[in-house]
Amino acid sequence: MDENHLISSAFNFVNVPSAAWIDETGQIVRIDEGTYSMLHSFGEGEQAISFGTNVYEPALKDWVAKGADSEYVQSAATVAGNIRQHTADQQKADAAFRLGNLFRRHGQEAKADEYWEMARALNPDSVNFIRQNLTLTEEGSAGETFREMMGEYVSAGRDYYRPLDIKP
Amino acid sequence: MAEAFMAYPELRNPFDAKPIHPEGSATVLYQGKTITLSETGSGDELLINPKDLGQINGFEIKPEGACFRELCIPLNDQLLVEQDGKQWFNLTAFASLLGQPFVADHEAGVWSFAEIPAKRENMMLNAQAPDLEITDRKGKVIRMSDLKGKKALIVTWSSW
Repeated sequence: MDENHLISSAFNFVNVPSAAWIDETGQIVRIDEGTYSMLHSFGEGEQAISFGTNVYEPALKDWVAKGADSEYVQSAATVAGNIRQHTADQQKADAAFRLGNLFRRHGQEAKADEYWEMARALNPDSVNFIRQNLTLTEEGSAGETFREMMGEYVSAGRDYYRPLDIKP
Repeated sequence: MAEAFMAYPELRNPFDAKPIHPEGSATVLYQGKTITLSETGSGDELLINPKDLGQINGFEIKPEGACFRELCIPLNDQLLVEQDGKQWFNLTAFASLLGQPFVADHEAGVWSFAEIPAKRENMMLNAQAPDLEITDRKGKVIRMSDLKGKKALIVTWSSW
């Protein structure tokens, strides 16, 4: 429903699941964290993998109950510091990606490819662009291409999700 | 990588080819909106009827300049252009002045603009939520400003 990624552009999110908490006045009090609602575990032995966390949901409930008194509310300065900065090229990539989407909606494949490839060249780290494009392939958005990309991303020591700043 | 995107055209082309807008028109993309302009000036710059500015980005032409809330950009000869006896507003020069990136496909007559950086200053400096709007699955427009007075949790999940 948000094929142009307006939400992720507005909040500078990197991938799903990500979230922002916004209070009654429109103040953002937390932003851009890997917001799994629970720890997910799959497989056994050496094949076992797990991701997610059990600490996020209780923190969210605490904020809902206590509002500004919740220990999980962050200051405006902390939140502003946690917003990822986008370069002019990354912003231009958003414009190019949306132009590709327009051409796709009008059945103009070659033009769509031209602008999606421009978007990827301008912002090669965008998980949004590559995963949406991969939905148009047989392997889908979580297949080998995506896993290879994320392996390279993480092994380069880069933050995929911002580390969750909530203590268990 | 790009080859993989194009490997299965049957999966990715459910739409029949059709024109983006009537002949002689132009299209502007901005923040999820698609605006068709029935008249524009000629040349590579995007020259629009000044009356169309508001529906594109919320700015209005006032005596003090092109204004959005308290922000006013003074007009000059680069922004207000005479062509064939008619006055036009140069939207691409305006974007460059504001540091707003854009991409143009001149052949198709389509301009796609990124967000205006000045509109995000309150978020980047003071953590105020941006006032974006999106359309939900039932076609209803949801604005961030509609959520004021309530706590809001914005969660993204598989938006592609």
